[in-house]
Amino acid sequence: VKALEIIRKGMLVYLTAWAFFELAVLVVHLF
Amino acid sequence: VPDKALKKFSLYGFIFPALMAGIFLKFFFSVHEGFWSDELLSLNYALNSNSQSIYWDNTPPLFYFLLKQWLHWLPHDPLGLRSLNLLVSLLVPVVAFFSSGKIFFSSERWLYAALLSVSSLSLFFGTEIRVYGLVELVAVWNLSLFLQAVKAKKASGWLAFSGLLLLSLHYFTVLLVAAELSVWLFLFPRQSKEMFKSRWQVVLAALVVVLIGAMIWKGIDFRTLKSRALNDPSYYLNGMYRIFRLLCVDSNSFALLFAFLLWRDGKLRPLQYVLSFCLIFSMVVSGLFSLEVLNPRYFIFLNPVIFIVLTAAFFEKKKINRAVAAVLVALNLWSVYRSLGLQKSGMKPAADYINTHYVPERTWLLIPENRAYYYPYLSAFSADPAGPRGKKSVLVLCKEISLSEDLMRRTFADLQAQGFVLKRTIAFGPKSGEGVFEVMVLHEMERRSL
Repeated sequence: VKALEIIRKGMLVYLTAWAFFELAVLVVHLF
Repeated sequence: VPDKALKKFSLYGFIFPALMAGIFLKFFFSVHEGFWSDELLSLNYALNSNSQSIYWDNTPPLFYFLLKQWLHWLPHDPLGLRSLNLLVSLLVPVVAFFSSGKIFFSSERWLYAALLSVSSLSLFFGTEIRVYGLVELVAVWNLSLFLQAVKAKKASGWLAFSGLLLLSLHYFTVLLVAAELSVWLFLFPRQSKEMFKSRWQVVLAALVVVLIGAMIWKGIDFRTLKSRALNDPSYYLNGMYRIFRLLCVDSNSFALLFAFLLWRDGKLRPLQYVLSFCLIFSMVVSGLFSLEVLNPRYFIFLNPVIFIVLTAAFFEKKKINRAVAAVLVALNLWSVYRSLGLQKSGMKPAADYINTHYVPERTWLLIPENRAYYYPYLSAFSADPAGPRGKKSVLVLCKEISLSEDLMRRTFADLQAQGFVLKRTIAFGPKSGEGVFEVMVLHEMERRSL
């Protein structure tokens, strides 16, 4: 279960980081 | 504990209207548009006089077998041909309601069924004559059984059976079944030993091996396997971006959606693990096998996962969870609204144009790519074996994306050698850049006057 938590949190960090990355790309694109 | 005000609002303000709208929209999507080429392909497999035709596609044959039996009894008009998928997609909220009895309260069950009945993936892909509606229906059942099994710490034979059904419908469901198995092994390592003693699971495991073998045999050439995934992270991003583009409007909200599904606490932790595994496996598969076209409909089995978690979020104490879930449901409804005006294919408009503007005696129609199943729309122009000899003009109908292929170049060179010159080109269907659907291009060539 510890391993599952690590996998889940890893994916969570990855997806959140990606969302901010995409947001940054969008902002750069707009201005 | 469900909030009373929310419950009341949900029942009269959302749940009943959503269920009604779902039924109406499914009929609407079944009749408002002509078939696109994948649907014509399904019909060709199911109705072909060759008894082997249900095995021609590179997906498992169960759906074509069912479609063949179904169409034996029903009229072959647009609604009749789509009726199996219409029935299946109407059953999705019903099965969602009745299968979730052991994981949800009754008001949660109503909301789950209502949200699922107006989900954009379900509406847009569930009603077309492809396997996806049925995949979603079985996935709804399978995921309820999985959550029950985790709760009871005991896997039922029906869970194995539903996994097996999924695998006999579409290869991509391997991701879901493998994710469930992985989570099960992590959660209950001791019971896993017993699991492999049970007959159902042994049968399932054997079938997974057979199906993966069949997939490799039919579709995947290991010589084209690339190591690109290992050194290019943007490759993953691109693949992931496409997965729920239609549902989530753009990639930002897609990432936010999954981050939300994985972030919130609650009783659905096992589902979050399954989702994590599905995402990781899909990245690995798309990376290793260089599957660039990840159409959202291949992942329709994740639709119930999304809506189970969104439903649970609506009944949580934290306001932020409800707010995020409400935003995501609003995005889904916006996506439904957008898809109402989205044309999947230029096939029918192109065929209508040909039927009204040209005469078969003067014009020869050529559909390269050996796609004889386009002809139901063009019966007057059924392939003339005499070819362009004696005809004034030639029409070449093809998909926009195949214009750059060698076959097309050879076709045009051949026709030019026979004295035909290009007069005009007309495009039909969705505007370029509108997702994954097909723009049809009609080239009108005329015989050069000597």
